[in-house]
Amino acid sequence: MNRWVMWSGWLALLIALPAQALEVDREVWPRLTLGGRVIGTLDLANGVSDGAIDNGVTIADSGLLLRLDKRLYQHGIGGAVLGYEDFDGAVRLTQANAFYWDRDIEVHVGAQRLRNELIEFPVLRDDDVLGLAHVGNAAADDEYGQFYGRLVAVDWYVDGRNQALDLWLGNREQDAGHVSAGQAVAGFNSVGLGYHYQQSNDLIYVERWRSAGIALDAQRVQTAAGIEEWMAALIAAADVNLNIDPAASWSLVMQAIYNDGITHDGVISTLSERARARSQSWVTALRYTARPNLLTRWQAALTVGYKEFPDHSDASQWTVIPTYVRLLGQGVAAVAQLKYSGYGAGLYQGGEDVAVQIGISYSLDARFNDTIGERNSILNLQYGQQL
Amino acid sequence: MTTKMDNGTDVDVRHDAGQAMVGHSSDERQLVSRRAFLRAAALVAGGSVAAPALSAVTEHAGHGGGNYQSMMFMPGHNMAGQITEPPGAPADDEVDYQVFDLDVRIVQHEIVPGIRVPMFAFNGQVPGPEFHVYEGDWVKVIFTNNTEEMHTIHWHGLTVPYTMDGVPMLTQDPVHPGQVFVYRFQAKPSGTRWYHCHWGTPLHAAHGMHGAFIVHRRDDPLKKHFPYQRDYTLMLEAWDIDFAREEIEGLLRGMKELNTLMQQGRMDPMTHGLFRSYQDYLTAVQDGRYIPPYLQGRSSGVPLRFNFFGINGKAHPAGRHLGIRRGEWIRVRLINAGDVSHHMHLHGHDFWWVAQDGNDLLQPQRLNTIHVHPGGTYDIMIYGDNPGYWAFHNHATLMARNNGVYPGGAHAVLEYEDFTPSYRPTVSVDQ
Ligand SMILES: [Cu+2]
Repeated sequence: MNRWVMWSGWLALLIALPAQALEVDREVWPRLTLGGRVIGTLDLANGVSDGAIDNGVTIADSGLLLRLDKRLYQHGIGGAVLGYEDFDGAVRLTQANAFYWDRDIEVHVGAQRLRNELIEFPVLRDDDVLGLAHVGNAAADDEYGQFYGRLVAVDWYVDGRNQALDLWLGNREQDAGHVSAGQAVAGFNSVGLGYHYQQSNDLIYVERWRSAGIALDAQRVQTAAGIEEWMAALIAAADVNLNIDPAASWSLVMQAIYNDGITHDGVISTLSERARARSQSWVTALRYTARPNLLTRWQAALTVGYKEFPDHSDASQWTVIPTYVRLLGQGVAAVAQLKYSGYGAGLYQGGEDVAVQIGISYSLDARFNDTIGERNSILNLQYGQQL
Repeated sequence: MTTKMDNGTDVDVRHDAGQAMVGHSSDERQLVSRRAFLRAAALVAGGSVAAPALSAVTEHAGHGGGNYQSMMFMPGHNMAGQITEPPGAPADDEVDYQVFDLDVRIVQHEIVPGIRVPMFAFNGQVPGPEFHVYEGDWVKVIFTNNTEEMHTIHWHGLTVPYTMDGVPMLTQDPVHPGQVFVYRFQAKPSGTRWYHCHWGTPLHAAHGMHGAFIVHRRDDPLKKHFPYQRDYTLMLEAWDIDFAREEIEGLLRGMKELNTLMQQGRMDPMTHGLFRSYQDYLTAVQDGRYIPPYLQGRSSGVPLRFNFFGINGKAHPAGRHLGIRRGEWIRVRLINAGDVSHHMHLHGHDFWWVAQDGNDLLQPQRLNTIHVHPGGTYDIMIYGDNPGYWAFHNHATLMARNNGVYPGGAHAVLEYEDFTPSYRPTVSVDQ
């Protein structure tokens, strides 16, 4: 007998089996979560660095996120995330991962956010603190490659609540320039492990700790000499409330990164070259959130960052970013930000970047057919909700 | 309650050790619990409440209660550990109270195997304990709020003093987290009555905080025509289990923040949506100081879609059987504690509808389907003259489903205990 016919017969039987159990095999609608935002700003700028903002209108960081998930037959939740994001004119599929989670574990497999940062800063866009608050990609110079990759990421919640041991393995993007330059690495090029504490989103104004963590993020890198080496970076971060006042909240966000690098004397004029150099950086932000009658109305933050490349003479960067966000309605905000970066003589000939950005942002977070709830809900963390 | 349904206890189950409420002497209660309350109160009497440190008990029972008033507008009131005894009822030494303890907690209540739902629940059970008292009895209910949310108890169909009626901001302040509120009243009139929380009623009362309050008569005239010995209470329910979960989560989030402000002595009534008068409210909205949560910019409305229906906290096939014998009259008390009507149809029998809202009908009616509407109570008498197993179910069959799958929902079985069946019932959950 033709082998294909035999296999398809077995396959048909396998498909038919579940259908025999119930007269009506009803389709289970997933929960649908729409997330994302559109942020448009008018930028007035003058700068020297390769990341400097230009005069113009920017929609960078705008994106749409779709989460589809459902309860499984016996235990846990399974689903998928699809996300698109604009990177200064180029729309990329940033997230396409399938996941499983329950009270004790979260597993994501596929395209997703890299674990090269532990915390979010209260600035308008991720790339406002690019280079300071992320471990750079040693084989890509575009923005996508700094933030996204293909990973298997496992977060094991050791206390079943807020504290997790994290492990990830996968591939950072290696861009065309590095591939054609023979600087690509075959197989896995990223691995890391860490510990993090994450407060329930529902409790961020009433508990002392919002989040904290420490992580080791390693990249497999091909050096100019054609030798493959592992390059490691250490990240530590904390987001802590300075007062416990849900109506007028002061908080402090901090993150420090030490990147051991692999080239200690090379050129540092591109993102990937800087990622390969030994560096240390820290960013800290003071954030005030005004919530009269417990309705969030505005937030002001001052973010300050510093980075230096100790193997290079006077190669340092100071960044100061005051940010103001006023909520006009749920998810709709008027935004304003001033961004200043000053460089030591070893970077951009000691020049500076200055930008003023004013705009509107619309954030989306809508759930349909929510039959699940969230892993870090109060009900789950404190009352043992059914999962 | 289910205990009763199991073994068909006699109507006078006041001292049943099961889930029915058990009265105990007032003296014992005072000795055992007062001290504990006082101790708890002393811990929090940090001066924020305008009462002397040791008088955390707001004692008004038995007198006019001249200075009993809302505490909700006092700056930074914190009611944890406070015992509130509102005026309007006789003092403990004036009448002989039967004393009951009731609390509220969050439980994961299982409606049917595999479906556990977070609920606010009296004494941790859904429905709450079933009261059985005689008309004219004096009742004292010591209600402790063991959640982070506000609650009250409304005595539905009982003619209590208005200060005991349990309507928040109309007759009392809501009972705060950690607070004790003492309800005192005389059980009247007789009949099938009930009680439920009156704060956030669509969630609290309909999704868990409801229980039967049966006021018996020593000379029940119905017994002349319907000499029943056993009676059963069926509380009919409708749940949207996703609404229950989302709403409790939202409340917990809000209350964690509100309770934090209260503990810090910085609770602002407007934050809780409280205003001294309608005029105050109007101007606060008009001049933009207050943004009501029902505005279209703040709320999409509550998409309630009832997906589970039940009797006494359980959906078919988790429901219990009603026992009957040949030649026996049984009384079934139907109470609709939810937000949709149930149309209860009994197979193989007509029954007599004898009372509505606790009051005997002038003329009993012979029916086999009774329409039980939200808030109402309906009593029927069934005579055992057709041995077998008989479905007693909601004939609005879309509700005879569990999450859209038939059969399920509000479905009881009338079961003869004194016959030898030829066909024996089994369990079927997918038709
Ligand atoms: Cu309640």
